[in-house]
Amino acid sequence: MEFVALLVAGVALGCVYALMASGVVLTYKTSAVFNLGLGAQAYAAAAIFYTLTVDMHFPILVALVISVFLLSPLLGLALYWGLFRYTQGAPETVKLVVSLGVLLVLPALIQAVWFGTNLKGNPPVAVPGADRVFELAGIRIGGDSLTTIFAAVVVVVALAGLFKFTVLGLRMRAVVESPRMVQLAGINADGIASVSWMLSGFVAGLAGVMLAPLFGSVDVSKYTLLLVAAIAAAVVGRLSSLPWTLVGGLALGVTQVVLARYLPADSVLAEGLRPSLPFILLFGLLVFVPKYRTIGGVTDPLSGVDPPPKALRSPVSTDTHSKRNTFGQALLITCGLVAFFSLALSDVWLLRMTTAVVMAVIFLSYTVLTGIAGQISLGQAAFAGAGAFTAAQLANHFDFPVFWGMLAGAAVASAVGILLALPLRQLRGIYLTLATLAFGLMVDQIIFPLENVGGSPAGLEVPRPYQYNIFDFSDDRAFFILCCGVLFWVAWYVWRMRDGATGQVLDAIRGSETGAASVGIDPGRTKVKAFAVSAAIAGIGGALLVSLQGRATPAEFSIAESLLWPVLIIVLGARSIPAAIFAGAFLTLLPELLRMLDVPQPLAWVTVIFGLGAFIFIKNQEGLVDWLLRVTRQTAGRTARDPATAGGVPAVAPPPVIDLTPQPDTNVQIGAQAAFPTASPVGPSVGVAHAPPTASERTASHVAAEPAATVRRRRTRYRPWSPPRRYLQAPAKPTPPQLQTSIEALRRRDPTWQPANPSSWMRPSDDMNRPQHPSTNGGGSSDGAPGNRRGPEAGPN
Amino acid sequence: METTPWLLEAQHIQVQFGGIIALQDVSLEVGPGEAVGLIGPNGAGKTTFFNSITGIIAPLRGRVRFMGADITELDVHTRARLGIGRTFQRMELFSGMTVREHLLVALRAHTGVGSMWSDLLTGGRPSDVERSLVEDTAKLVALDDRIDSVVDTLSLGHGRLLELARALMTNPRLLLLDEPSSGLDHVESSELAEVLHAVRRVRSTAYLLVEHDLRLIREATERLYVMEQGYLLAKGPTEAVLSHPRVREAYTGVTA
Repeated sequence: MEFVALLVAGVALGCVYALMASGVVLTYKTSAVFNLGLGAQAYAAAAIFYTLTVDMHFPILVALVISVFLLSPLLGLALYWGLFRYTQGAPETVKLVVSLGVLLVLPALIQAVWFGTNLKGNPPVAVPGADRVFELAGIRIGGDSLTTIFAAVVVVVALAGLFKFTVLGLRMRAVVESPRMVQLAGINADGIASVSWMLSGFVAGLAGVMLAPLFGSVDVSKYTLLLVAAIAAAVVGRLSSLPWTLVGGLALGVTQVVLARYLPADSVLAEGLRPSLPFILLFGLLVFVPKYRTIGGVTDPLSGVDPPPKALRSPVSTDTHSKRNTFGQALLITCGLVAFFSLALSDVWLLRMTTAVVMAVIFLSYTVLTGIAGQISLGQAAFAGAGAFTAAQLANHFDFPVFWGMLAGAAVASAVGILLALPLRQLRGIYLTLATLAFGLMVDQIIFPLENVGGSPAGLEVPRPYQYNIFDFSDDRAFFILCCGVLFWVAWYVWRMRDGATGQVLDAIRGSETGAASVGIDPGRTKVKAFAVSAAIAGIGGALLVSLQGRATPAEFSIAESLLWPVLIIVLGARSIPAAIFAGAFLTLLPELLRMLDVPQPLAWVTVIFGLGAFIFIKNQEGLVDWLLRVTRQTAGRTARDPATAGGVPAVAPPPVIDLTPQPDTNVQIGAQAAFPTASPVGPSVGVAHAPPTASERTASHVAAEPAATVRRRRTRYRPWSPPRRYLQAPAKPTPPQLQTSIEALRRRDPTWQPANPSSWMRPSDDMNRPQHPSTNGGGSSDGAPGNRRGPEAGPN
Repeated sequence: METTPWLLEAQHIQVQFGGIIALQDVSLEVGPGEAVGLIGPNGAGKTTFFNSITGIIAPLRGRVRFMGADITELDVHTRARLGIGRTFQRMELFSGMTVREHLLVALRAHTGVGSMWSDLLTGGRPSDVERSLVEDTAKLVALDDRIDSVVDTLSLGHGRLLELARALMTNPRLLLLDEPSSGLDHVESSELAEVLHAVRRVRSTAYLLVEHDLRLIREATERLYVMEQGYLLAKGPTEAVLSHPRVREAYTGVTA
């Protein structure tokens, strides 16, 4: 009996997971964005609901309608039109960073503006009367569980039905395949995407409001955990199947509740395993289910006509190998700066400056992994923590000199990196990132709280390095110089690697794993290498950080840092070494600056500022620091020598155009919309590939010599066409009169001409969503040449 | 192990995507230094066949043998190191890198030069031999004037030539070319044919050419395979196959 009650509670929790997961699936399916921001959207809804009910004493139903049914969809809509609309067709990295920005900014903004960072306990249950307890055949079931289950099942089933059985669902699925193709088929892709973002916002809001009473408080970190649980459930559904997502969510919820009841309450296993079940599941699924290893991102069938995607950086200068004197210059400048700072700064500012330098070292670990190798890691704080706690434990328990402890820390961090990368090496893009997120959360929740690792919450004491009486860095100034030295050497190492052979191999992996494998580079091995180096650098940074503060606490290396750091460094410029140094400075000095300006909630505002940077990233993917450097250099007029960037081809007046266009009276009007020269029979050209006619195409001789199929003609002044409703339902009609006349007109001009395959013009299956017009109906030309592609294929069929 | 005159032998390859049979019992051979073509309408499974030879897709049934050895289970990059180079229908260039860097990285993947530690000492500067090899290959595919351009600024046709050059840097015994001439104009695709001739003459590299441009097929291949809807329709000397009525029907859609 008790087990059944437990089961109901588990199902309720699972239903909330499933709700959230269906939001993830919805946005991924319809706009190819893996929206990490849903966690923040759920939090926003919960916060609004809490404020309305508790602080403003609204009736619960009214608050529910306002927060979930009104504001949540609006928020989703605003996110789409404000941000994610501009990421269409952008690399996955961009979408990920932007959604990460939402995840950071939204809660911080809410906290900074009105909600505050204090825990808000005992949020009300979302349905009036749900706190009643029902008794069914001796089983006591909470009313809130029942309403939760009911709401979740209704919503998920409705969504699944929407996808499967309605025209809207069909179009939603088509929009994923290729928004542009769907637009060519006459459907408003923006409209479809808006609907799906509103729906996902609503679903997330509902999940957020329903989850708050289950957690007992409205707390941001809980919503990050909810997000990961939802992602795990969505991955069970392979990011596309809603029924399987529901199953995944339910299984997760039930297992979690049942485990909580039956595992001994005081064991480490129970403490760690129960809350972290979702991450373990997610990690396990990604690593052990072979299907996910080969899934690429969603690709647009039209991308074949695109130029290759923009690189994540500005082009490397071509003379990287001739910079011989840079080392000496950099050394001189660094020495000068270090001497200046260590003499000029007050004690407090010296400590802050040292923190900035140490953070720069940690940020350099992203330069290797993300900037050069192109892998986004959301678990980097785990590596830094590994280095820090190794040094701390060695110093505390074995009296190990901190100096060597730091190197040991780097080695241990590197080993952790290799251990993580080995199972992940087959994963690509977003899946690798999700797996590192699961890893980061696992370490944050299970490993670091262990006494043998992170010590007590109060932390472990870590002394400053002191060795043989000569290397005495216990003084703040000496330690500052040590940190600068480490930063210099790490930066030098990263720089040499980036411009050297290893960097090129990593670059190749980032550019195209398939291409790299085709020349004999092992992508898996290369990724493992990148993880190893990056983790070692993070480990050194972590060890320096705790030695600076004299104390190592797990809170220092929580998942929150793992999420904030990559956004900051990617926005400033993941490839750039100056950007890493700037990132360290910003992260340390900006909060101080805000504090000096007496801004309330300075930490929340810092997060908001950094997160907003993520949105700049949509437009400027080379990183702010590189961009600034380039712009300053350009205004100084020094890059004009490079013809690739400056377009330095001298202007020569072009020869006059040989214009052999026939006189107007020889033109044949087709549907009064497009005019074609009579010399060429109108081959039904392919609707998508309307490249402007080249000069050679324009000459009459060419037109006369080429068969119709190879001449692709641009549709001139073709109004955007949206299909009237009757086309979508009515069966095919006979050729419209004006088209018939134009066919006859064409025949009059050239008796031998005829449409390639008259029956294919009006095939009932063909005319659903496209104008009944020869230039978009790609029925083949007479010889069926390879160019014989059909028109927009991605339309619903 | 029995000896075989063939360089590449694909035996009874079958590939399935879910319920769809993409390749059905496809067998194909390429001899050492031979120029072989593979044609077929879009969706016939040509690229899928390439992917199963290079190991991107694991075939459900069938074996792939290269130089007499069974390579069906090997990784993509291991096969590449054995001497199978390929180009892609949808380009797989390393965005952000220059032409020179592309060729250098391919060359070093082949020679195994360059480690993290030697980078620290030498900065990964290319040696004179490497430099001249890179420049010669760039000249071979007529990209020497764009050698320091970033690939993102190249046209589609130049990108294809670069893919070919990148594959050549690994000194392959067999080149798999997936529609190398799409995006090239007439002059460029004639030049491509010349490059292929030159590669064969100088290095006796065999190649398997998937192509829609029948002119290039005629110019550059001796034997031809025709695929249709996942199975092999015909094989034989290029001219004979091309003039067969059934092939003409399948490929051009015209009932002869």
